[in-house]
Amino acid sequence: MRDPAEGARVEARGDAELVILSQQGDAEAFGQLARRWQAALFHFARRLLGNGEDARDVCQETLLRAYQNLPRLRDPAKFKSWVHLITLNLCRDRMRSPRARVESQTFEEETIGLTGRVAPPATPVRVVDATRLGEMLSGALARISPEQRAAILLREYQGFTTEEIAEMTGVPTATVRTRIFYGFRAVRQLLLDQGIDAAGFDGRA
Amino acid sequence: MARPDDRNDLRAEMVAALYGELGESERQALMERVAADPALRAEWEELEQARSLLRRAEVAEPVPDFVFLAPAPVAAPAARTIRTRAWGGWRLPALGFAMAAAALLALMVGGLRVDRMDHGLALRWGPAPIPTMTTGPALTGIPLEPSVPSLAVEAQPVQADRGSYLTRNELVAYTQELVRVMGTDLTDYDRRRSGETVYMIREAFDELARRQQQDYERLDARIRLIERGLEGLAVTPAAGAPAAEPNP
Repeated sequence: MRDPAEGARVEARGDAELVILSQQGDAEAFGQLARRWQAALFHFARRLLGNGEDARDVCQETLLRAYQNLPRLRDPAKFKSWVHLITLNLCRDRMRSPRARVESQTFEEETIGLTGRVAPPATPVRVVDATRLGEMLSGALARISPEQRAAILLREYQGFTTEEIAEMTGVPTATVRTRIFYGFRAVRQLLLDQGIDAAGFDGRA
Repeated sequence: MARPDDRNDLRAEMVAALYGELGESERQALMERVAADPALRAEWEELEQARSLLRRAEVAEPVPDFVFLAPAPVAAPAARTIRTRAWGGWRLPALGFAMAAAALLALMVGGLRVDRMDHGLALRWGPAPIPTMTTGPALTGIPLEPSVPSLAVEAQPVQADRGSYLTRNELVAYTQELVRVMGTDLTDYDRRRSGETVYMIREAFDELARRQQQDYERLDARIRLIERGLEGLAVTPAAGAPAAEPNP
């Protein structure tokens, strides 16, 4: 059994150090990595897929694959990007499944045009609390393209820089930024359609 | 009027500015353009509003506690590295042990069988996979002195069929390979609870390995006993030699 002091030392170690220990066969080090990242990975998958059940499965599988393939990770400092990319790829597989395609109808860029202003809200502006806004936002994110969704989530919630996202997804940084732009625009339009704008959000609730 | 490509470049720059990824001079130049162009200014405001909404929205769903399955290293098979946590309202290891017990029962009663093959290991459905000792002709006919009663009891005709055995490390290695294959291949949606299956199978193989080890130890003890007896009798059976006739 691991000494509590040793456990605390493992807790304080950085990702890169834990990756190296894991690659040397220290399962507890990988356990620490898993505990450190599972919440972020779950939220990422949850927002990307739009439902918690699939997100749980993806997160579980991500950790298993990360453990199995950790010896192949050449740059331990890139663990965060690497493990997020595993999640992203697993989510893509899920989104390509027939069930996911039936459930998701993408809100294409063309819906609002490339240059036009967004349409005025179809319903009166409403005030909602943060939780309700989160539900509505999940619905809106589910309707934009997976590429836009992934770019927004990685940049806004997962703390990656645009350059890191470009490296992960294999596209130029300008493409990542335009995906974020059109994704933001589409999400805002979808929320406006439900009577939600930035002014109507009641952050106090 | 800017061309679409230029417009997209400006939009990309606005996103960069939104996230503080522009240098001060670049940002200032962009903001001057935005201030001078009502359409650009509107788009900038849209971006800021959208980001504001995203930042303030909360995901209410709690983070589940995951089952993390770390296959045990071959070098130290005794060190258990299974992490058991609550998952989806189920509590492990209680569930795991129950499933492992069921799996083990299946293994023992006509379940899985691991065989040594010339090219490696084979997993088959078949009878119980734990051979202990098999009788054969190699040691038959060895003269046993009645003056060594304990040996007379113990030294039954015995042949260790090494070909049907796996070492503990081989079993662990095989289990790890099985876990790896399952983890890689079981991506089908309907089998997404593969983590539970992996846990169950590894538990079963661990138990199998423990029992295999016990059998080895028993077998070794009996062989040593026989060898001691043979030394006492000054008899050295040649491998493959025909059975000697008992002394009259």
